[in-house]
Amino acid sequence: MGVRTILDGNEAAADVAFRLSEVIAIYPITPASPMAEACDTWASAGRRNLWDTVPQVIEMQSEAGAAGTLHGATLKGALATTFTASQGLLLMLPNMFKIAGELTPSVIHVAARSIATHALSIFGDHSDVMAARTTGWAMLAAGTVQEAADFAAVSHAATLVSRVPFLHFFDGFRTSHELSDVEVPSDGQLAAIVSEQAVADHRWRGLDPDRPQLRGTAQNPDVFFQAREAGNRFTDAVPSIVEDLFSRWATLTGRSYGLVDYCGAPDAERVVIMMGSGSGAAEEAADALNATGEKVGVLRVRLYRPFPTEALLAALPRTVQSIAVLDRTKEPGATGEPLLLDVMTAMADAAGDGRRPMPRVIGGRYGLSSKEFTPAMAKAVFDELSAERPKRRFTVGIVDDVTHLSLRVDDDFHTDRAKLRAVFYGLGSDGTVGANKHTAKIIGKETGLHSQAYFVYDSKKSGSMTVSHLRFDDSPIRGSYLVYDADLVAVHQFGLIDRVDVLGAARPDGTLLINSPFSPEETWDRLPAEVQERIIALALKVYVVDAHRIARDAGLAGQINTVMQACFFAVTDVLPYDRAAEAITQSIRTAYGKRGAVVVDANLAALAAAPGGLQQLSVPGSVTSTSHRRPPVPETAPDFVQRVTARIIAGEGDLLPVSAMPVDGTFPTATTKFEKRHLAHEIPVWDPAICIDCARCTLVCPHAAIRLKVAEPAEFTDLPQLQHKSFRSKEATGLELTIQVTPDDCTGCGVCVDVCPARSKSEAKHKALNMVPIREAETVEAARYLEFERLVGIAPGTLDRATTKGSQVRQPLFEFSGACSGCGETPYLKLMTQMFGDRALVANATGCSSIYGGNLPTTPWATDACGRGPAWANSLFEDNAEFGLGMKIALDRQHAAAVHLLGELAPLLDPALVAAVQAIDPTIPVDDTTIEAQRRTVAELDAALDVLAQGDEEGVVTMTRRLRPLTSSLVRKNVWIIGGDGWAYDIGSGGLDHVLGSGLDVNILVLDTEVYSNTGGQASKSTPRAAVAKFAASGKRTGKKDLGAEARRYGDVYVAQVALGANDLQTVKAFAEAEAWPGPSLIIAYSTCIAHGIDMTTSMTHQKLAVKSGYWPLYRYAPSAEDGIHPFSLDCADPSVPLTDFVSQEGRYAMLARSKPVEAAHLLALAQADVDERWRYYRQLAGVERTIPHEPVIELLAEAVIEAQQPIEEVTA
Amino acid sequence: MNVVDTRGVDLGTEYLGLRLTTPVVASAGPLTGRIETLRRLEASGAGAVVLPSLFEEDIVQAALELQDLHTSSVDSFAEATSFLPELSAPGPAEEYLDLLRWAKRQLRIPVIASLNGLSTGSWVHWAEQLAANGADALELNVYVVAADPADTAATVEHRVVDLVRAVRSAISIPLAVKLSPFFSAVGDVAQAICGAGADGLVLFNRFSQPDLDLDAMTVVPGLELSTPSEVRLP
Repeated sequence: MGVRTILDGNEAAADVAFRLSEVIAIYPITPASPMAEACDTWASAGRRNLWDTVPQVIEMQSEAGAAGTLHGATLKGALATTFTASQGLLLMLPNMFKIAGELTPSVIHVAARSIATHALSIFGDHSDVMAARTTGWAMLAAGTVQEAADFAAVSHAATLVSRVPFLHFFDGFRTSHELSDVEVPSDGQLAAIVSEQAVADHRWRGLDPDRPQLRGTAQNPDVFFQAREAGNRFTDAVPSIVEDLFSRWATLTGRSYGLVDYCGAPDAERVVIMMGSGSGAAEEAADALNATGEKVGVLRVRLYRPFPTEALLAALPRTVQSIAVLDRTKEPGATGEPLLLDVMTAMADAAGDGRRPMPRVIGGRYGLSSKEFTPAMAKAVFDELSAERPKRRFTVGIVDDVTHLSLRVDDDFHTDRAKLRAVFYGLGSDGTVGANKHTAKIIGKETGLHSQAYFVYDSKKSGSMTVSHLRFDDSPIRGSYLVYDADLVAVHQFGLIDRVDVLGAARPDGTLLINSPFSPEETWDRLPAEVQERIIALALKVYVVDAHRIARDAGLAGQINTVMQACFFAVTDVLPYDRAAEAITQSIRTAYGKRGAVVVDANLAALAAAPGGLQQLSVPGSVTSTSHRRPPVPETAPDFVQRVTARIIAGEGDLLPVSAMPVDGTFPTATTKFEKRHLAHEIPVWDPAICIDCARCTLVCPHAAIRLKVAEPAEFTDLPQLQHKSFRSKEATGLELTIQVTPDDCTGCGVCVDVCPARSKSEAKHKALNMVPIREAETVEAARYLEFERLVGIAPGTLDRATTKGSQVRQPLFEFSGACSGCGETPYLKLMTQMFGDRALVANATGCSSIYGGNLPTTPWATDACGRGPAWANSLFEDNAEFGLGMKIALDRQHAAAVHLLGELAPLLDPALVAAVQAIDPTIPVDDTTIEAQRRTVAELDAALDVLAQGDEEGVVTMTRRLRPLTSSLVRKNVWIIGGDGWAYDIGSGGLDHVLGSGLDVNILVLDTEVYSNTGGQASKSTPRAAVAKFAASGKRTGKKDLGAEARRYGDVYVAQVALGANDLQTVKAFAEAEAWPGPSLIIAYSTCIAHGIDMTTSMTHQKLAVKSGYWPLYRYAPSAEDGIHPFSLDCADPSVPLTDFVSQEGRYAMLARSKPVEAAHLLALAQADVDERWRYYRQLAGVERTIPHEPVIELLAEAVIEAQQPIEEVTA
Repeated sequence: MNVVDTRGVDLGTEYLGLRLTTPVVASAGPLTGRIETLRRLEASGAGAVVLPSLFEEDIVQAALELQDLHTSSVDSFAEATSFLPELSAPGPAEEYLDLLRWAKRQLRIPVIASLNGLSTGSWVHWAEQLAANGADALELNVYVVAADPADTAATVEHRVVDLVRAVRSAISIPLAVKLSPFFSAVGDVAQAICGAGADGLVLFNRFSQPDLDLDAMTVVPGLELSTPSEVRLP
């Protein structure tokens, strides 16, 4: 018997895969990463597989690398597996064809996810696995967490017997991240399902010099075709092998599966055929419809490749007259989506053979990118099958008002009969999700009820909202969709009531639990009128608890999970409270035991105090509030933002019709400014009396929420509230400085205050910037910010942009992003846009920066007063350097074409204008005055061309129309290639190297957090030795790659290593020099990250220690064609403190010192040696003369080569 | 075996009822906190070693740091529900007990543990742990800052005495109390402590006291070593 427990789909699959593998080659990708992380953790802890060895888990540089390693390992006869999703699976395709062609047993577990098309999506559908359906791999689709465990076992067993590799997939997030009660297969069950003979056969087939053989030949037209057909019988045998294994699994576990499984009326007339987690919702709908006398059914396809035609025909009732096939993917231009075509072919063959009549078969798309699929939607499909003329092709779950493919859905059709349904609204890191995970486990264990918990996160990394959906029932829970009629709605953060429609999912006579800092009466008074109205209409019972106070009193500031968990049990009757409290106590001891008694005791204290703090709110009979929920965007926002963006912000994106969406994924920039998120509890307030004008506060602000302007004194006359002081500058005199926070956009990270060097001489701890509770400062500061926005200020070119102050008087064109509070990356992006944003094309690798930069609903990439700003695009993770290079080449080609066309049209234009345009050289760096003059000149050209275009001469008009879209390229533009270390050091390394070697003028900015930050802190080749990261749980064994060295080797690449918090001027200069350098330039920017385990308030000041300890040396490598130049300039002093002074402040190092002190000491000693050796090497480099080979030198070299070759040639002759 | 000097004088003595080979005891400090230096202290003739104090505030701080490390930024974003692997990390207490057990296994001289707790209950708890893990004796590192203006001298003294009594009743190994010089009537306090069950007194405890930087208006941590003149304390 397996052990019954609560797991998510990822862990359920990985737990089996780990025990049945020897080699696990991995690469992180959402939503499959947790499978790899779990395996790495188990391997680190010495967990053993079924054959009593610890599997080797190895992180590769990309999914392509993981697939190559999988291929090699399995060809050697090892039991090998990997985990992936989406683009990761696409990168594995070449090897998948090979592995299948070679009949080599392997398993890939896929948390199926959307393929990036018009946009990236991390959420689930089958577009990735469907792209792999031609590889020759068998494909097994799990639809529940239990199936993810069971099918993992069957996949590993089946591949060994059949020799056909297996792709086992389940729906990303919906199954991979859903917690559900499952029975974990035991070792005995796994041992019984895996054939030892098949394992031995696999090993005997492995490469061995003692039995040499040749794999992977090249074949020619004479035999390739026949050889390709030679393996047919292996594929043909798969269905019966899987069927046999399913049968044995049923004997072993009691859980029965078929190649396809039918559910519904035995005499059904209408049937839906589908795969994956959506089948449960369809089955619920079918049951409900059959209960009313309809005759419908649902057929789940479990083995998708090889397609089980016979099983399908056998399972379908012979009474079926019409079939709807639902595909969770889209294949534009095809006659139908893949599953539809397979079913259609199967039915047509059967009809052709006269085995059964051909039913009407229609096909539809559903659930792309985890779009909800509910019983109501399934009913819409059954209804469509009843129509006289059903849509042959349709969509369900959206409103398509463009091509009118969508079906109408009856939103009042509910089938959810779970015994307890609950929805919880919380904020990230407040413990809500963790508490609900524990609750699901407790109820599952204590009551025997079946449990389901699913968590929805929003798209921001700071201040994000979480919504937990929990179900409990006597029967297994089939419905994999959100909770829409909740018995309990719990609002764990009072502020969310104002932002979100928290009662949208509440059922009549349900319960509302609110964590509120106010008394029940005051809580009622503070509820928006819409919420009060709904509470009364639904007759909700309302309970109030001040969980933050109770948690704080217990020593758990901010961690409200235990209190809210206790309150959940107190207001529901799912478990007697005493038993619940006992179970929570045990859960606290288990969960926090290894963190220390003080943590356990604090949680127990919170648990004890919670029931006493719970009060029922006496709901008045009528609405008393006059306040309303805040509108998602101001009324002044542009039309698109009002129509589309605002609804996404309000959580109503599902309701937007197709017509509201851009057809090609193009969205306007500069939209974060409309999304006033109001996250900060404290904001910085400026004291001009002691400010020293250093501008560091605005420079380091991760969210561009604190800004400065310099203006003529007269400008302040009409701005009475705005504080200002005389501006100290050598470049400009008589000006006034103002520094101002925007309270609605600040996250309250405190980085600006931390870096502020100006301290009061009379008041302890008082600086020129001070954090003040937002309640005290908001009104005044908001009014000041309105005045600040009206202030025009000096022209950007007044001060040198290559200085800290000069850069900071310029407008940030990257603002209010969704990045983490205190993010170390975003200040660099902001700085780049302040210096060059009006001329920047940005190629952004997938990762944190593409998410906080391009994740809907809004984007921080902004525009200046003239409407100029960065043009931003994200292609993929692995190709970003090449993507940016493509932009650069296109820019150059457009410029060349424009110059040519201008020459052709010159006789028809004002000669002075032509001369002025031709004098513009976009390869030369320009100051603001010059570029503005150039833009005016080109604007004149545009006007002249518009006149020419109205002419009669066809040739002239044609040329004019060719030139007009290209004139923008006549003025300087920069290409910025931006990404993190996962891209630059690992997956994009090859492309980056190629671009560095191209000689072309591109600027590459690596935001180096030393881990894959976006996917949760996995190790990259940038991760330093001794640091703990995911996939390096025992501390990274090898040192950090010197990326700069790879670039410097080319000789003509500008390279800078910077740390803004350590030396702002060096950083600013590096950006200026990189932009000016006419060849490739590379800036490696130290970026502090929450994955480092530091207090992010010190995100910038911490960098000083990184430099002082030699951990992060600052340098600039400025190539030159001049002789006698030392291009490598070390921009920091000799290390003055030991490395331990730096690393001891970081959790990623400290936790290894705690958990494995001896190992940590060993690795840290080596890490110090890494630092010492790098410094010694860099010191020597600083003395090296190097010159870019230029023509005379090349000639000399060529002569020298000829001379050198002469004797060899003579000897050869 | 007692150490006998070149003139045949037996340097052996007793401390807290423990038989020492020499009267030189390595008191609590960095040198007694590492395996290597403990070995060297014994080889150099130390009659006993007092391990550095186990500070309960360190235990609390480590637990809170670990908790913060694994709760801040978790479950915030769909792609990254955590950022660091959760390791099973022994806290300062486990590390201390490891050192104590090692010292007891490897050294022949008495090993005296030292403790600084936060509440009477926790002093007793950790005292029991140290005794159970083999300490030959226990030294209570009592550090009282009478910061509450409402506290009388007698209250402060009674707290120390009560603490000693509570620990004494919980453990049977010899017990020493390391006293601060800042008592009005040290002799009286010393007698009361001995009356509560202490087997010895260690005079005096020296504290790492922070300073104030009046220019920066900040607290500056500092460590000033003792000078010969301080031998005249109190």
